[in-house]
Amino acid sequence: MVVLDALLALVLAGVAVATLNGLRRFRAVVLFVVFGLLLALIWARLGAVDLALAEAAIGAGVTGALLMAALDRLRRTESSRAVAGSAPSLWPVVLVALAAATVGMVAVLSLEPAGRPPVAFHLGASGVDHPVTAVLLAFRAWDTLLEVAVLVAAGVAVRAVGVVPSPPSTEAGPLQAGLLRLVVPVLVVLAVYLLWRGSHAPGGAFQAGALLAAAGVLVQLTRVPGPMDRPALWQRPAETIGLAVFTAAALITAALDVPLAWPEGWSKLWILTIEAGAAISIAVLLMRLFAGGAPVAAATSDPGKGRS
Amino acid sequence: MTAAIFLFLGLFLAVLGGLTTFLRSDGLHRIISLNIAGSGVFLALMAAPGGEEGVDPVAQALVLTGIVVAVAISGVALVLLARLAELGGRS
Repeated sequence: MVVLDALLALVLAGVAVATLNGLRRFRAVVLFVVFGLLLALIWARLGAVDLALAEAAIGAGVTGALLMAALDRLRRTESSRAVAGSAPSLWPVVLVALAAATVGMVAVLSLEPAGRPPVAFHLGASGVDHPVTAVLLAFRAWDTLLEVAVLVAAGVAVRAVGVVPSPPSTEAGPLQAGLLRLVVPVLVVLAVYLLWRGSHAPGGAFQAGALLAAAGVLVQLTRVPGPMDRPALWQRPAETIGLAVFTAAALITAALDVPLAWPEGWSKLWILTIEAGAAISIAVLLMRLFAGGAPVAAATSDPGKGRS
Repeated sequence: MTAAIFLFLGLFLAVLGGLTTFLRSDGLHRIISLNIAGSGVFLALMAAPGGEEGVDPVAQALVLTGIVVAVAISGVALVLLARLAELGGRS
């Protein structure tokens, strides 16, 4: 299997160099998605199934969609397909990176292996059976709370940049509409399954949220106007429900005992409630990033509102 | 052996992406370079030997958080880039 790993590493390095080399933006975006999918394979080879799921859904999928959306906007403002400016030769950089990686690898391998945090030993206290979920939502819940806050901040920043640019007026064809009816329900069911599964096996709020976002992006692409283009009452609550539920849980547990220490025996319920809220927020915030701005009508009728 | 291969790959990608971020002038290429550098850091973190068999759940949770933060930052950067181009600035 070492041969397979070496081959995979070689291909990923090659795709990375190809992504970074060259002037055309479209080529770089497509190769970056290929890079993400290959990296998901490597995560699976390392035994990090949570990361493989997240990389395929978020790293390759959502980031790829965001890059494509930005590419489309850039193309509509700039007439040239090629990029202004020059691409520096990448080969000196590759040589420097190879040398640095050799030195770094030798240095890291000569280190004494660090002891691991005893997650498996304390797993019973967390209320869930999957160690990664236990770390994310019990042992290091503060980090995850702030991570959800980062996503909300990103949503606020995108709203503040301006309104959603007018989408190209392409109505969905019969094929797209039919595909949508097939794919969206499947994605929603899969997302709920991944969320539930996260308590005892790889999966969880982030993978579920990314799948929901994929469904949302498909709807956004096939409807004119898309669900994120016009203001709707559900948008702000959906964007913030994850942070709200998580913060409320922190305040309640702080009043009871220690912040983010779930009451004994009930921790699975607390964790699943928080994860459900987080998954919804992650999905809608990723859709907001894809839409690329504040809803239009809100910004035209009341300029202050769309910029908050 | 597997860990050593992926550790080398991670460090290579981190340096390659990091340097290219500074060398390219085009915004979109810079954002992609930064993402590749980030992926390299994640890979090096996960492949570094931890003394036991299997994957360290704390490192995995850390990288999972990193992936989500990276997509949030990339999303904001891309929207800023597109907005800048629409306003007639250099992208």
